[in-house]
Amino acid sequence: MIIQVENLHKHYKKQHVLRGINMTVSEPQIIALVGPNGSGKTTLLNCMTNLLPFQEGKIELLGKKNTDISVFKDVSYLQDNRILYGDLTGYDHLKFVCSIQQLPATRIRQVTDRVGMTAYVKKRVRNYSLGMKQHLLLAMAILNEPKLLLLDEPLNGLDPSSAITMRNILLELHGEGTTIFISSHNLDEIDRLTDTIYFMKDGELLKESLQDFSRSEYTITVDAPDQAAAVLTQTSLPYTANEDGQIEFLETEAPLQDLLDQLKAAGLTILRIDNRKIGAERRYQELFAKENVR
Amino acid sequence: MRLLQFEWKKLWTSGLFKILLVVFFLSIACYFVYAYMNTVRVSDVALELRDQIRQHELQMEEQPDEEDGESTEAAQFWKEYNEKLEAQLQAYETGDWNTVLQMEIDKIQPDLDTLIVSRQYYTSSFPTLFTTETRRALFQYMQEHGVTPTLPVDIYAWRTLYDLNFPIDGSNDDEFLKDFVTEHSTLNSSAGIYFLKQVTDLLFGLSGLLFFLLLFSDIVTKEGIGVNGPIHLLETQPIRRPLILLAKFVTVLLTSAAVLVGAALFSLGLGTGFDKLGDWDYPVLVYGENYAYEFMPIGLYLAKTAVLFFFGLLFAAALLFFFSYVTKRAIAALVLTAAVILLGIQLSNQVAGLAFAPYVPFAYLASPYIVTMQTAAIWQDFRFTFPLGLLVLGGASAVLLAAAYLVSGLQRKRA
Repeated sequence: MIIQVENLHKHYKKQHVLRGINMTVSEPQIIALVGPNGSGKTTLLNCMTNLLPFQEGKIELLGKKNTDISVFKDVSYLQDNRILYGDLTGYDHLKFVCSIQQLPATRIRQVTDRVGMTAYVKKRVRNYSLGMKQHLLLAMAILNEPKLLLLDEPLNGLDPSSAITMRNILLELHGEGTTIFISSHNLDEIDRLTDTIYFMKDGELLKESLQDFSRSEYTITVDAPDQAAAVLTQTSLPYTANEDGQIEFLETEAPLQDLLDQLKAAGLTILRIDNRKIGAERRYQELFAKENVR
Repeated sequence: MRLLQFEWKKLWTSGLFKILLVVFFLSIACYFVYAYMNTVRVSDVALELRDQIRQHELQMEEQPDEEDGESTEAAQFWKEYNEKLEAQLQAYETGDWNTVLQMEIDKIQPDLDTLIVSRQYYTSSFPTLFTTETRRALFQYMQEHGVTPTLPVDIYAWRTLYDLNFPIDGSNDDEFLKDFVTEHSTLNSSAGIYFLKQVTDLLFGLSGLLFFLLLFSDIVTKEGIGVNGPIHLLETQPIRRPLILLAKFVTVLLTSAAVLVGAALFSLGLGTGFDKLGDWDYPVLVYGENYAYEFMPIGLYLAKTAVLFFFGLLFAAALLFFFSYVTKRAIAALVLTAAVILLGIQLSNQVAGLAFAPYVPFAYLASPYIVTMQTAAIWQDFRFTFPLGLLVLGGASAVLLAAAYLVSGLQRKRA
């Protein structure tokens, strides 16, 4: 088992932050953790890496208890950039991780080349931009070629090209067999990385695989919108009519063909069908619409 | 070892650390300039003696040429006096320290004989019997060990803690005399070993402790211990957590030792380079019970004060670690540590004389006072010793470190 979290409860004084989290990952994959601020994402990651204790539950990473320090031989955690020492260079950080992990120093060059930070690796971290710090954190995290890579908001502060580099590296690592567990607010990037998303809401986890959904939403334009609405009202098909008189239809609950058949049977002419894919953002809006999304 | 290297690297690359080190060594250099300028040298003493001889000669020349008994006696007196001064001058100029010291002993002896007969240790005159007795013993020690004295060697240059009153007329303090003695007994010497003693006497106390606390504030307090800070980098590596704390502590102690050794070599280097090395046997007065005393070679004194100061640092660092865990705030931990040390020193003064007083660690933070037994003599409690100081400071540090570890454990449970 790569990740096993059972009935995890975490309280901060009276606040119940994690409410019985269960999660099992048995095969290498990319898993995203998405949720609004304060939903408990970082707390979950910190509990998983034993940075925070928890009141109830069990966590195992790669078959070992998370309190076993040998776990960090094969598990890396890319955290907030506050863990970096401003007075040290990127190279100093990488050299330290290399020495603690007992890796050859040649790994540093391989990793900096891969991440694209060789040019500034010997500069002091205090002179790094946010994106450069993220690169260094990623380089530190992949030095030991981890089997499990946990990432907390790795895309924060990255410009588009850095974000693309980061995404490509993560996809490459996944291709090499690394399991990647990523918490992020960047839902577009999440869409490009994975279909498996854990949504966190009020300390609870809801696993969704976007592949399980029909990933399409259709907007259908017909020659007589009022008549179309009258026809569809008499069916049980889930549809909505928008302000422009177009019909919006989510294919997850019934096949599109059923709707088209009904419209054709009523003698209506279909002028246009627009297809929009449902992504993490759309699903996020559905889950958190009323409370958080404006 | 890898952790120690990393901690040391962090310390060495810290801007604050480097600035403080430069200020520290610059202060020593400035102090050396002061000591060098205020060192009384043979040439200064010779000039003074020649001046005296010249004045006496003038006085003799001004005597009327009458051959009455009184004039002849006066002339004879000044002649003999000048002969003594000339002999003294010659001894200074030829570096015959044995003669210089013997002449001073001869001057002391009549006063000492009178004071010893009356056993007036509580005399309110300056110098007291204890001061006179130890001054003679000091000179004898230097004669026996072939030690070159630090100049001047006159009556005002030696005082002890029993010299509390300075009356000329036998009643109240004479402020002028008091100031004069205080000023003249603060001997300065730019000779390497003696200058090192001057540096350690200044450094091995509260000011030194506060300096070292500030020097290491980065390594301990900026880690974000207990909160989301750089410590998380270490805690997500295959390293046992107690080792992280231990590595920091050991780094603080090893670097302190290195800075102290560096300061000692720098002071010795300055002194030896611009003046001379000095004598490792130079006597340092150690107070005993019932006005007893002994002399300790300055080399041993320096070693003992350094070791005790090091234990004081251990204690201060343990306090800083403890407060870092309790407050989780860099500045708060530093201020609290300094405040507790200041209050602790006040407290140790308040409880002096009580049965538990020698077990209060704050009493041992001024190591020169402990090694010379001045603290013991001041409080008339001779349980304040160097070995007990090591035990008390070491024990208190161990307790504080254990408490810091417990607090961190409790905080993890409550987090």
